[in-house]
Amino acid sequence: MANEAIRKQVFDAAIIGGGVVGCAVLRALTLAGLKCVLLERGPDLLSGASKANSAILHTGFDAQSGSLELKLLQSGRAIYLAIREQLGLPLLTSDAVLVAWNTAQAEKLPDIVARAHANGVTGVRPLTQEQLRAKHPYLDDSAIAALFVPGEYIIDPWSAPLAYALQAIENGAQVVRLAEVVSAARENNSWSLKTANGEFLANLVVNCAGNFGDLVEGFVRPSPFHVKPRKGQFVVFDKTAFQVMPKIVLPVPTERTKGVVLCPTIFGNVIVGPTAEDQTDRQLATVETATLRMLLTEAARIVPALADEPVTATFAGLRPATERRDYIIEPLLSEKWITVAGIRSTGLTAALGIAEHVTGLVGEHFCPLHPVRDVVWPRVPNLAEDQPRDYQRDGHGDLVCFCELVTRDEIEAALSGPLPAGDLGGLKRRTRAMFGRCQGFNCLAAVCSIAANRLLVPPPLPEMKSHGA
Amino acid sequence: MARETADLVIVGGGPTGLSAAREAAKGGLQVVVLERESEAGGAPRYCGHHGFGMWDFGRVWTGPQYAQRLRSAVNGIDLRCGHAVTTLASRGFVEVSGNRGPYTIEARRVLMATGVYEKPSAARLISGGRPFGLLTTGALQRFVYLENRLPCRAPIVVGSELIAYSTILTLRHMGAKPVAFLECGDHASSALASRVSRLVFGIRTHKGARIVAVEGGSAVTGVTVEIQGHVRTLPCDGLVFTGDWVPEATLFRASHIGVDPVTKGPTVDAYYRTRDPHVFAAGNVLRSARSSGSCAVEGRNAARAILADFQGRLPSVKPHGIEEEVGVWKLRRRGENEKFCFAAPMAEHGPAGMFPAHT
Repeated sequence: MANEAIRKQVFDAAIIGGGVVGCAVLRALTLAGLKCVLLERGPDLLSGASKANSAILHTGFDAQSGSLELKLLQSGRAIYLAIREQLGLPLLTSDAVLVAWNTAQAEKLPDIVARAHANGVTGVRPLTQEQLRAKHPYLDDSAIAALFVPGEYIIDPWSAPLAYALQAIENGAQVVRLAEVVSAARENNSWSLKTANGEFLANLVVNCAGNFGDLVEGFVRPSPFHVKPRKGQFVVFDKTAFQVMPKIVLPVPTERTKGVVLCPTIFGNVIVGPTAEDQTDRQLATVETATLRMLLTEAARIVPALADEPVTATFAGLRPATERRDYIIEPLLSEKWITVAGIRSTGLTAALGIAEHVTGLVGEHFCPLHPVRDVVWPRVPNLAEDQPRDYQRDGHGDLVCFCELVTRDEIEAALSGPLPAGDLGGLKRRTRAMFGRCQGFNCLAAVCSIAANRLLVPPPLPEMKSHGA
Repeated sequence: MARETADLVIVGGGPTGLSAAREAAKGGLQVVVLERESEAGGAPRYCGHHGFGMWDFGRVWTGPQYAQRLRSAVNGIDLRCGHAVTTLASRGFVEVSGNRGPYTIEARRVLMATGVYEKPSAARLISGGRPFGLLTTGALQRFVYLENRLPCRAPIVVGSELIAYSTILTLRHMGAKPVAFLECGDHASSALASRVSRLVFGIRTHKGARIVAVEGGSAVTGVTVEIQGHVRTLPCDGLVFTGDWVPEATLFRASHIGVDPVTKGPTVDAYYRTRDPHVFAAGNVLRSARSSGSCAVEGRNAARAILADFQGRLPSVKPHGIEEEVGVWKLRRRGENEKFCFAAPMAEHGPAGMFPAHT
């Protein structure tokens, strides 16, 4: 993957970290005319914080007024809506209701409306009981007050960043995986980055390292921030739950977190989560039976029909929180380094805005921009349930995953092209195979047979002894 | 979208569906069998051990041998492999995704014989990470018998029903073996198999075991369990969850018919007929797993009921759509592990047995 030619080249910019933010920054800088390389420590992009989130395209109605987070979240949202059709990215225009279940929560609603309006989200308004029933007929009838939050939408949390990276590659960028940066030094006015997959030279470094942001920051200065990974556990309901979840259901947020959200997914499921649990491990996010049960109880309290819905999957993700509330985006002028850190759960929405902001900083402080004239616009395969899927195409060939209706052609496509899946997780995120209710009872063995020898990091199947069969 | 018609569409080409197809075709119906896999035969295709065929063929075969017999018994019938039903609509309309694209069949009757799968670790809300190596018996058997691969060499098996101990035979086929069995109750469900596994193969069954967490980042490295009050981590390279069957009833859940909250499968009357008189269901989709032979007999009986229906010999469905269930099922709760076991009457003595076979 990282051949000699790439290693000897001096890149205009090296982006450390292939999460949603790194992918978006790679795209923006490449389209601005910079020669860029993205260095990802994992076997595939989106292997860290970006592999698990609630997939909401936020409006920013409840963000801190005047914050960088709000500004970039709103510009990122606008860019997503502007470019998504060209990249083949889906959008579920679900809208949200924010529900108060007791008087203390209800008392906070006027402040939420005021903040939403101050943030420019003027459609947020109180709902009467009748209006709430009409918006979400399946909600428990103990809700005492509610707001309508138009514009809170659902997107595909993996196809979107993969599309950003793919477009960057198609326009000349390089993506190198299994390339954890182990040291970085300034040599002859450029950065030399030693990685597990070779050495790379770049004039500018953008630190988008997510849960490892403060460690990477340590290469340039004593990190002024510390990443405190915050775990969120989720439960995924089966597809039949989708019909009882026409709107995202938001709780009244607390100081600390947006709280437990119930939302439909672009794949036609429903998820409930996340929790907010501080931990020290930067990689391993585990689920706990008791917490998952609590989430199920909470979901059934809010939408009683969910009590009968089977569970398809459980997962946990880590958001790279820091001791600061707002995003940290700083150019270090003499070091030729841009820090992008503390991008929490809003990062999926904000990524394209962050990328635009970073591009502005680069043009202002580091090098002139020469935007690419004939931009290539690749399209990513559709995985969204409301758009035509591959299995609906004439002559699609075999189905491999029956729960998610994934075809062999889709799996083949995910294993080839300029950005093939690097591991089984990457294959799941590109195809949905193995994501369904049987969790591989039917397709795991077949998928492993198709993919085992074609992944950067194959599934850890034991060596075969010879046997008598 | 192309549309075609059929007397009877059978969804699922396992023991139930194939046996029903054979019987219905003998009775003169124009039958289409839709099987989503590339080969019909159902679960026996990847059960390499012996014990198949006794109920319906009076022979003892391995699963693949039995599946082969089931397939050859439906020679000449319109059997379509690689065709998955995506929607079960009312009035006998079935939407299909085939390898030549999507199409609709308008069937005079539909028989759903979609079988079961095992509840995976996620739906069991198991604590810990999600490394590679979290399997079900079905997944393990597919690795071994369909792909000729081993997903793990020394797994721990969760469960103590016969199916759990079948993993010894499956792994032995590849020169590997489980390191232990975990049973959350105080007794192994299959006491004899538990004894054999200990005495013959030297593999212990830990009773009263609760899984605390799955260990491992990218691959399973062990499982932390509480065994009768003591917490410890048992090393292993895989965890095979066995039993705890879930009817493959998603098409029902998403349809106008729905499922029963206890069985999680469709409710049927004494003639295997669901709330929609166009749609019948038989086999394991009705409840937890039973043997392939009893499913085959049930499929045959359901086909006879459908033939009787075509002759106008079935009573009309009651207006409220609430029908008596097949037999009287006794619910038996075992321990605190929330597993249910149904003691159902033998299928061959079931109510549909009142219809004579067509010759």
